[in-house]
Amino acid sequence: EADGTLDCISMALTCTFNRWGTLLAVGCNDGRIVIWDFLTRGIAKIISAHIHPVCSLCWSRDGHKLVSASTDNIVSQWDVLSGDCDQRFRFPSPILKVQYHPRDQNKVLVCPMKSAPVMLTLSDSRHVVLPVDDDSDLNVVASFDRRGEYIYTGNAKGKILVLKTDSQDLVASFRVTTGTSNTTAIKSIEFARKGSCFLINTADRIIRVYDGREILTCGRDGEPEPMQKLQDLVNRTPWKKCCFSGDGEYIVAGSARQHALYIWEKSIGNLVKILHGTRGELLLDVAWHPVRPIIASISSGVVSIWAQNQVENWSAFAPDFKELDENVEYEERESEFDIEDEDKSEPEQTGADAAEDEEVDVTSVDPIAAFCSSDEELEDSKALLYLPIAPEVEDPEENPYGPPPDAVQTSLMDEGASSEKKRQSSADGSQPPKKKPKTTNIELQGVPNDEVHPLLGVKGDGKSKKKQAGRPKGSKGKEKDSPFKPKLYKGDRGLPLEGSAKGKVQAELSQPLT
Amino acid sequence: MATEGSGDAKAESDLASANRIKQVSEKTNYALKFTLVEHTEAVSSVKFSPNGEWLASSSADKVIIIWGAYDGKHEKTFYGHTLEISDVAWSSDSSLLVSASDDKTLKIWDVGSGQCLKTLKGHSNYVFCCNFNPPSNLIVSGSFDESVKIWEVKTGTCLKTLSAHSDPVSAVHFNCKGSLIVSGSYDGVCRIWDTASGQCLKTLVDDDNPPISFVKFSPNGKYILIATLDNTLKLWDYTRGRCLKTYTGHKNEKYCIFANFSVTGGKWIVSGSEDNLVYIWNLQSKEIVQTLQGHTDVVISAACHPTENIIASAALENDKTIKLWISNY
Repeated sequence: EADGTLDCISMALTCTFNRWGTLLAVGCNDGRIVIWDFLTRGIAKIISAHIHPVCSLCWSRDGHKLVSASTDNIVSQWDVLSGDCDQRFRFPSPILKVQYHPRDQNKVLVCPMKSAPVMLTLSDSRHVVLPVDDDSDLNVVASFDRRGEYIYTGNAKGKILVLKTDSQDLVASFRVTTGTSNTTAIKSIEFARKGSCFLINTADRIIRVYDGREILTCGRDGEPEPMQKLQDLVNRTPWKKCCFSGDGEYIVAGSARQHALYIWEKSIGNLVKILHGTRGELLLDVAWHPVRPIIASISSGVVSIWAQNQVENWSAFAPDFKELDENVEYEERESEFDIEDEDKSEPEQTGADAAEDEEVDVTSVDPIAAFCSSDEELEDSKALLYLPIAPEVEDPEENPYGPPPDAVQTSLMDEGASSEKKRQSSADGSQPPKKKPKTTNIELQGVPNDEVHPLLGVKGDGKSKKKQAGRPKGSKGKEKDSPFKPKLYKGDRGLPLEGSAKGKVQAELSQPLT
Repeated sequence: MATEGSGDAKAESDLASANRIKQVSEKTNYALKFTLVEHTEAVSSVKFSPNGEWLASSSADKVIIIWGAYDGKHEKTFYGHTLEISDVAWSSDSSLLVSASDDKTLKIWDVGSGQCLKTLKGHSNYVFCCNFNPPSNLIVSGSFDESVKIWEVKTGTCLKTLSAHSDPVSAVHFNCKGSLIVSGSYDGVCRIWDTASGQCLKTLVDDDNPPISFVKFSPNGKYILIATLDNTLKLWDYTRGRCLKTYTGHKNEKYCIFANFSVTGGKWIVSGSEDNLVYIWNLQSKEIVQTLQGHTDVVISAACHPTENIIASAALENDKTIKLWISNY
């Protein structure tokens, strides 16, 4: 059921939830990344990331970083709390997808157009080009598996390679065939957040679901059978984007032709529901919330939220309430109207006393099972789940009983210090001149450099490569406008003026002396 | 040789400190350190800031006062409410306060500037209790109009209204993850709600249902402390729906007295009382380990410092003072 929309102001192109589903990052047409607080359905932060449309986004595992790709071939890493750009990479061709290594956020997988996938190491800005099956066919898409141990790549001839992430060794491969041994191009590979299943979206409009473990046992040139083959036989719908639900039990696929979402149950393969959006709109992206039954879809620049209808659980309102599906004939008990129930047995006394002597632990916190992986022990205590929120201040409130506002203002500087410490530190971070993010040019062999990102309709020109503007300076400017800027923000604005004035005075002084 | 010697000494001191730890957990020795006099009417609530620096107090004299937590120095006064204030709460970064007042509004204050940033209007009767959620992007409030409202901090709009009870709501609290809300009311029923959807998840009712005057989650969110107007405090395991511990000995039949978990030293339950004393119980054994004397009226609120063994207590209009007590354990 439709549960509302998120109004982004700018046209949305792509969206992705963070690991816990508390924040939704939306990449927009105007190069901005808008981060929504999903609990309040309000905007938590806006990062003016690129000048060109943002076409792919990925959250790091601890929620502190975002990696984004724009249609002008730039891949950047952003620090979510500060909005600063940590690093930039310029590629020779447009980027189709960026993905953090699921366990190691130092590694980023980048799929450029007409090129083999590239794995970046952020710490030393180096890159590794992944091996491909057929050098003549470089329309390759790739994805990390759930734990990042392997990288799965797929090309336009339906060949899937499974490479070990560390060594890029080939451990398994198979070819997807359709109908009578024809090959079909791989459009995307998506992994579930739980379990070992993944799906392949191919040009023949069939979604094949496989078990990753079976692929590995089949080895090289294996012939694994898909667990499920999902398709829309009636309309032969091509699929724009598919993904798993948080528990991996359901698969949602967005139609490339109309604004409709199809949901299948993975284990049985039956179509559970079709969600229909506004007619005439084209679907751009679909994302399933990591833990809750909520789907976000983007069409015509608007993010739509789909959720299950909440039915009030009436049994919860009183301990002995029981919801009935239909009328039930009430049978009176023998002792119904007795003042004292003679039939009832003596209540157990010992049980209650034993419980009273139990040790009660009120301080140790249990990690939430839904967020813990089977191979990790503790929840990440330094993870970023929410962004700090400050109330929007429109008009200063009248204080009929209080001291005049001027007296209060002066106390801001000295007294506010300790309670504002947290806010100050974030302001201080931006007061010294901003570090320019490191830009690395990635050279790739044999890659045409006049390709245009599929999102853009027009062919690009060399100009886009030379453009230097629009990043850290842009984000700083943004902070001045947005309502959540930290209050003490004066330092850097004052500096250049002082410097120039001083210089001028000195020049004047020096003259009369001679 | 030198290393062996120091190794022995270390082992000895470890043993000694282990013994000492075992000893101190049995009792507290809270002693009065400061008495804070400023309010001109009954004090309704005192709360320590999460960073441990400040103590906020709300009062029937329509103001909120911030004091230094360690020295009791008066720091700031917040004016703005037009009627008595019943409760005040801190945001997790100690930069915002929310207050609940009889003027049917809640106000969000910026601690640094003393300004009222937002006024939350919507309740149709006295707002009695309020709290921030751990990410501090939501505020929950309970009111005499029998409803619980969830507000968004940023815009000040009411996101959800829960038809929670059939009598005034006396207390609301988020759990440590912010995913659950517990509400208690004079109708004797304690309900647990899912924050995201506003659905009622569970209702806790005891055999007879005395009015509930206060509810609170334990620090790990697994248990609920419920105070009822029959002189009883109970610790419930809400997943099993069972009462695990009962604390008695104090007097509580009329007022909504705040109770607290003290976990900085030993594990205690701290509560005010209508016999002008602050009661401290051993959480596991349920014995009264100490009572603090000094107030001259009902001790309406008792708060525990987040990191040090400090208790702040506040009393009603015969007294109007806040007392800070410090213990070694």
